[in-house]
Amino acid sequence: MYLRSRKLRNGLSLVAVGALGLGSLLASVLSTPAAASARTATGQLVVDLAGGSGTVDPAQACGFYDVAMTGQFYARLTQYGATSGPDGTTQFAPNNIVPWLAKSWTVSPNGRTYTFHLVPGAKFANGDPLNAAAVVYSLERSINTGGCGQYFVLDGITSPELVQKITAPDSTTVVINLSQADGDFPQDLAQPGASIVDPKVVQEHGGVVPNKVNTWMESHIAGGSGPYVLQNYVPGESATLVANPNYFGQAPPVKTILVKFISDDATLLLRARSGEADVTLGMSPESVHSLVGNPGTKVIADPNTISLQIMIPDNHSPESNVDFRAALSYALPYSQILQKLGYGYGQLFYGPYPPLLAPAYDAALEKPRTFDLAKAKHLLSESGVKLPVAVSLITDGSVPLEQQLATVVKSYWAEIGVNVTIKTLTDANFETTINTNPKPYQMGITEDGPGVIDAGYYLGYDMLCTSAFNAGGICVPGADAIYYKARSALTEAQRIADYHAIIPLWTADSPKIPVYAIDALTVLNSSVKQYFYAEETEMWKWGY
Amino acid sequence: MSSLDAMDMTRGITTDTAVAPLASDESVPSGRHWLWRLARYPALTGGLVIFIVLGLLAAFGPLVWKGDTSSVNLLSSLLPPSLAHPMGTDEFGRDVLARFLIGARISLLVGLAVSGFGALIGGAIGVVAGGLDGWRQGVIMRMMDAVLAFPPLILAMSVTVALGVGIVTGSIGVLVGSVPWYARVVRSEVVRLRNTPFVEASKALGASRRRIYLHHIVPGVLPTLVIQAAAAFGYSILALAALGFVGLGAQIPTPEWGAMISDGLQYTLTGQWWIDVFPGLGLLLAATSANLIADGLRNMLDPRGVYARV
Repeated sequence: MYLRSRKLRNGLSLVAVGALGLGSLLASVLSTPAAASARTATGQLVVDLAGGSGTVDPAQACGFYDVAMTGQFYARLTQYGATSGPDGTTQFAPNNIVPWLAKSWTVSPNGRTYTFHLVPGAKFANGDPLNAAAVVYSLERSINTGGCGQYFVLDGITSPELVQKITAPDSTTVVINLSQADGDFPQDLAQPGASIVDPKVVQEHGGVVPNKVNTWMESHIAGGSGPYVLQNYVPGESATLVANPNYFGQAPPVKTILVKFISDDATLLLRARSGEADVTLGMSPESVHSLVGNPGTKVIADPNTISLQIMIPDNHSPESNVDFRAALSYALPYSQILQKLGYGYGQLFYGPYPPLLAPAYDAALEKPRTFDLAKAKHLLSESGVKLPVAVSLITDGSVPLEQQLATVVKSYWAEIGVNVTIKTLTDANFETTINTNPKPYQMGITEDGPGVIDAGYYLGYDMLCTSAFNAGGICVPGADAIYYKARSALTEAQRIADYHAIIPLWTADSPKIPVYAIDALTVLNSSVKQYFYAEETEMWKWGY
Repeated sequence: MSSLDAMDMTRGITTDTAVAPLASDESVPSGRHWLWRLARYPALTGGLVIFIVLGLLAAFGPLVWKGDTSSVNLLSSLLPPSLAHPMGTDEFGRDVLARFLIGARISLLVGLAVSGFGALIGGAIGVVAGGLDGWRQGVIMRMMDAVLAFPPLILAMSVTVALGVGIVTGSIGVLVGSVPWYARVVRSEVVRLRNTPFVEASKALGASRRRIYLHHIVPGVLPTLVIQAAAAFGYSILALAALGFVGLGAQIPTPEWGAMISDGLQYTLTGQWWIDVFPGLGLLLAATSANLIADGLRNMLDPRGVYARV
């Protein structure tokens, strides 16, 4: 039928286009198990990460996504043990460090000498020997390169440096001498910063120059001692991991992993919902929550050391007033914030240690602060600060949760006479600002937590008055002395007792406001039957 | 009658006497006459109706609907549209209708300010440039071309970042990008008008340059300028919304439509569609009304267009 009317033709064209568009949209949002089944048959896992990896050099890897990628390619002397997790999954046990490349180790009575015995006959992916000499080279490389790897290996103890000497009496024995006893040292060696690289490959591509980045290592793998090798890598876009044929340990359940770096939350959600992604990490809480009850996906929430917090450096007025800081901490509806902004994925606490840092964390000593406006106003009147008072609050513009919390803070603190001006900074500008000393900002919101699951490691950069990495500008009277005592304690019991002694000093000072510890959220396709959660991500324990 | 008055009558040759005679009731402006004329331009009428409705909502809406736009009430977050909250609530429990109405004020006022000042500044540059000859006109227009070389939104973002993010600096950024468009159009029109017989006749009769510009050139370019400003109004609103969307315009918790869409985008896929759909509709209506008004004015004021009676 020829349509004489142009308007009618245009109208029908619009309807046809609309129907096509709607159909495509529906197709994309409905679950498609067929795609996941096809990947199961070929042994490929698709992992979506909400961010790109800037480097795969273990000596430089700092952020979550850097560490998440790097850890797949290199073995370490030790690794985290496992414990049961939610919904049939497993998760890492921070207090249970088990053998990996080191099949066993001994500690001297004074806690300063560790002797590691390596798995004999291990090889790198390229066939080079994975021996004690490679371990010595790798650990010294991390320490001397001066990046984040150094901080991880030294457990944050840099004056004097924790690691004094590393030797290899034979091809399967490594001896490490420490400047002080450190019960947490085996955990440090489980971090990607302590990865074992092939010395020959590194030397062929720039070697080790103290305090200088090896640019080749940022996008290449030196030998490959871990369960996977990097087959293809497009920074900021994707990476293809294939099983290491010479891996000395148990072969991973999946031969190939395709990692996609996707920063757009909507895209992550659609891909998870449609089954295009098997494992999704870093999705926003609201998107994750929308998948609860969705057939074809499973939401896993695991405890995390990262906490959403409000930093209150004490080098300005009125922030230097203890009562003023305490008043602010009683003027926020923490439960509502966790339920409505965090969708319940987190844990409330008020103290120096998030819950995952147990046993240093003590639920009785670190009870969450209550929402009590009357108490807040009373503390303000005792502080002597003249109201209303204007304060500025900086946030990282690239983190939606921080923007949301800033809006809530502004509204509630206005009720107690504290008028907040929100300043949104770019990601780079925010990082520079909070790491500048003395602190140039009045207050700020951040998400932060230790990469090493240890209270001493965390306090070493988060609380020590003299720490250059003390982003929150905290200085709790009397706490630093106890910290040093704890770090050199010979027994775990003494160390924990010292950490507990810090808690009342810290809470009395109200140096910052931990809003809640943020759960790590993972969305799994229903075809994924094996999932192991670890903060540094261990993809070789995932499978169908 | 002076020779200049005669010249003023002569000016009418290009419009009134060169066309078929109008009916007598069309020759004398009156309220009924203008309404009748308006009805002959449905696009213009439609655009004006939408614009007036939006204007009334912006002006009086917040006085009638006194919802709280900034206080957070987490217990009422993400509620769907209802009688209590006709446009629902956002993630902080704030009433979306109240924020929509304040957002309308911001968007319309900024649109008017940016298009108005842009027309004023760009028009002035165009008149000056059009009146110059040779290299002097070339210098001015090459400067305008240099600004035009930048994509308008990128230029607006750059200016905003340089001056500090916010609605005012965002408006300045959009304004800077719009000035050369006015200058080019007005300059072309001035050059055309300078060569028209009635202007040349004025010169021949000894009219001063000032008189020629005030009585002939400027009135001649005004219709073009008004049409351009009407079209730019819609663009200005969308550009400011784009800046707000990427976080360079209105800052939290200011309820600007672009920022509201940005905030609500993450909730669209999770089912809370109302947070960004209503401000999106507002932008759509505002931009559409501006374009309809611009098209209608062009048809009405352009004697060489579809509705010309030549």
